[in-house]
Amino acid sequence: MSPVEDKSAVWQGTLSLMVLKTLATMGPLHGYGLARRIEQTSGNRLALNYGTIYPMLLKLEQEGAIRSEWGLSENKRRAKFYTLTRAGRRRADDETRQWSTMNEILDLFLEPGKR
Amino acid sequence: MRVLRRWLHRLLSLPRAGRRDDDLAAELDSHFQLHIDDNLRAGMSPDEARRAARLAFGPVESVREQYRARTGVMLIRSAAGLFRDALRTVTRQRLATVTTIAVLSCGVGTTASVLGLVDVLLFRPPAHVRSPERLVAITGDAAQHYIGYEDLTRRVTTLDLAAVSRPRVLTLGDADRGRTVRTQCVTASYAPLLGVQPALGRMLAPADEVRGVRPAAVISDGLWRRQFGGDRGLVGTEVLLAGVAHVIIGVAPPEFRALEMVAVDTWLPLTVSPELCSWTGANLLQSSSGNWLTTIGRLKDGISLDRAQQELHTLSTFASAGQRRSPLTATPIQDTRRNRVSRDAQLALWLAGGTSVVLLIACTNIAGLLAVRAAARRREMAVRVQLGATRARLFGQLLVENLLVSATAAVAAVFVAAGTRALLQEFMPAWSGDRWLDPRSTALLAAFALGAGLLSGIVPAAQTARVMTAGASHTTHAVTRRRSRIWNGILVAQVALALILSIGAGLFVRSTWAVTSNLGYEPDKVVLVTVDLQAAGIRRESERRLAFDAIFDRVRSSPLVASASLATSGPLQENILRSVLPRRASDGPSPVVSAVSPSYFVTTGTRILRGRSFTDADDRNSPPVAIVDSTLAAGLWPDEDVLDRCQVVLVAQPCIRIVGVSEPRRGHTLAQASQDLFLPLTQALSGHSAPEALLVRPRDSVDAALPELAAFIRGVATGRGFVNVQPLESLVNTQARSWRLGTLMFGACGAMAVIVAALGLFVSLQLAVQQRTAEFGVRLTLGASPVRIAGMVLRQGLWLVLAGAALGVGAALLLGDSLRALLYGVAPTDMLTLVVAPSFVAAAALLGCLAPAVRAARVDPMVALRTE
Repeated sequence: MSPVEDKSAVWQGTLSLMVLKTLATMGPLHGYGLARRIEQTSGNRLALNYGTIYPMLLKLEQEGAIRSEWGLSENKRRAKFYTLTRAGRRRADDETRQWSTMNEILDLFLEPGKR
Repeated sequence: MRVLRRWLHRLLSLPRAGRRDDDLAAELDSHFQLHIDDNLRAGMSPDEARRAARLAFGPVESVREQYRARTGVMLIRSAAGLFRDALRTVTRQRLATVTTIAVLSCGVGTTASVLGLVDVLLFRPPAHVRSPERLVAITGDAAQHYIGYEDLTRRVTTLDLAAVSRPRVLTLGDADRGRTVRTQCVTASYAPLLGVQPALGRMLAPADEVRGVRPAAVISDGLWRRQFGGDRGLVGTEVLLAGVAHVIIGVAPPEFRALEMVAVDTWLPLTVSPELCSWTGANLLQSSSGNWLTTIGRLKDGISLDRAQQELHTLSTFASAGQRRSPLTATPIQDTRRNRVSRDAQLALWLAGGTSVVLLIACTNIAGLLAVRAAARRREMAVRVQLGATRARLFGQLLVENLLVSATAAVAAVFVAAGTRALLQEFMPAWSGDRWLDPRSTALLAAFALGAGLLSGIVPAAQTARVMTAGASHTTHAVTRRRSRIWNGILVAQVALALILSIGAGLFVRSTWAVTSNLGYEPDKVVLVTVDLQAAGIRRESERRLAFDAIFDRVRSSPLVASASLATSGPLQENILRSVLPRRASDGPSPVVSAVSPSYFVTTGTRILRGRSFTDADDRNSPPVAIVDSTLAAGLWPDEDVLDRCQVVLVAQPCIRIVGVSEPRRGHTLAQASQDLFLPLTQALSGHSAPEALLVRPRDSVDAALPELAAFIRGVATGRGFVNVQPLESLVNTQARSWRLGTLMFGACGAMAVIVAALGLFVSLQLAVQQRTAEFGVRLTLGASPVRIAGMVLRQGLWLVLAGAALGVGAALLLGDSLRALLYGVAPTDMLTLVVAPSFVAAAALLGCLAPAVRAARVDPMVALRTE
């Protein structure tokens, strides 16, 4: 079981932000690479079902945050690569800001003595 | 905004949804390849690499479902996959499907056609009549003859008026080879007053009313098509009507049936040929008595009904100074129509109520049946959920299954409705011309059936889908147990309703039997012959008598004939002598007076209870004699022995000696006693001495003798008029039709309700048995006998049946009084019916309980225990 409950809305929102941020820093990636990258970035503390990434990718594509095209992977496999659109970049920035604010507020509750 | 965009995208990509599916497959394929490559590189064996990749990915099917739900592939698959799945399930569960379709289509079909009948009888405005709500019928003595009508047209200022004669049967065409047509004489103001436009030619106009002009006739669309093959050149040609040449000037529009809602074939100008329109063949234009006309009026613009009433009231007080006459009143046409068709309409309303109730409980039970099916498919659903099917997908499939069944039922319902309609028309021929099922109402009917089917399917479908996705099978128990009390109530009500309808059917069977037996004559052994002498130009009373006598003499001596008799009216014919008043008419019974030959009673089979029949010795010169039936005798002289006393029976007549008392006969309508007063033809009153009917009792059976007899009589009557020969039984059958219809429809409703109620019990017990399978398994393991188990189930059903039966009998007794008017010779509390109907219903209901009971007894303990 992953530390975060699988189907909750929070998880959905977090995953989409992770996808967007990963694409923003790494450039075009295919689904498998994206899933692996997210795992690595989390320091392997996040063990997600790789399958869950695909409906998420479709959703983001439908919302215009990313676009996809078929290409070749580094080891010459055909794969579908996802790229961030301009709207997606804006959305990544917005959501990052929102998360940061949210985190700061949460910190006040979680560690009251810090400030 | 984002959601909107997603939906738009989904919608736009719908045509490419199939490709999307392939795209995903390719993408997942590539995903696995990449992952396996990595795993191999990390040193795993190929098998291990593949397994690890799959494990890391999670449930593939779930991803596919989610993906499809987003791309709209679902929608495409609904059309193809869902349909295929549904069709497979529906055809596999043959019994349930057939039951559902049969119950639904019968329920909807009969309800729709009976409601159509109610519509035609009670609510639909008369066709081709302009604003019928402004039309009134004027009642009162002065409005029923021509002198009075003319007087009214001069005085009344609030209404436009027209007069119509009572419909009469005349002969169309040559006297020897004609056909009968129903004719109405009307004033020229009639067509404009109603606002009816001709389909061809023109309607009657004032120019047609001038004396001396060639008589004109307007014919009905029906007659035009039947008799003249819809020939458009017909207008302007001449036809013979009752022996008089008439020019056809126009054809009325189809389905125009005037205000009386009866089929009329021809309309003639009242003032030109008044002889054709009166029952006696006399010119009644100058008569200020009698009641041969109906006056109808249209309220003038801006005049209220009250205003018109006031004026009529003033007129009648003014006119009736001195003479006693019934006051003039105006009744809206719609109301008079409701009164006129009251029996048919009452019957139709009962039928509509009955069929609607049956439909309602049918839907309830179908919902139940579907719930049982759904419960039986619990495992199938659970597996689908495990495979990643969404709730929407399950619901969708159940819905499509239901749609399939409902659509089939809808198509079947249209056929059932057409069949029921044909049947109803068979029994109520007066309404046969009306289209009850035009395309619009057919579409409505189909939609209705579909709706009923879907509605009864949605609840179980939604419930199943919810229960299944909740993942725990035992929640079914909770849901159904919560409902079981309501459900039991519904079952009890169903049994009660089925019982009420069955009791109704039983009462109708008894009534119909009573109304068609012991008529006071033997309809199956007598042939009624009428001769339209007018068609051959024989009009005067003495001439008519002579002509009939000549025919009678020849017929009587024929070897085909056992006995024959002349009469001024035959049984079941409307009698024109009813208006002759008896001495104590004001409050006593009003007899039907007929003049007959001595052989009359032998011919018709009417028994003389006391005294004697007429003989040839009772002629013009002997003292006047009469025979009365026992009902009339008891009514007029309750405490006296009437026989051989001289009684003053008729107004302004010398006293008449009653020589015999006959058995009571049924009158013009089968449900009424006739109250007959018979006179010898030789002593008949002037003006009523010409026979109208010849009654013949053949030596052979009527069926065997009829063709030869008819030919013989036609030969005898050649040149004397149009002959109509019909078995008396066919007249009885015409009268009995609405009774038989009531019996048939009530019987059908009752039978359907019983079947549906039995189905309901079956469904509920089946459900109960399914739920208690484990319990039964335990009981059987612990040594309970299968018979005992079956008994438990049966007892549960029996309790419901008994409660329903008690409720039903009680309700039937309460409702009985309102049904009384439709019954004959049987009380609503008829013991036989109250015993037979409940036993029948109970037997059928218990039959419905039997299958689940047997199923319970056959539970295999091992299987039962393993299921939980």
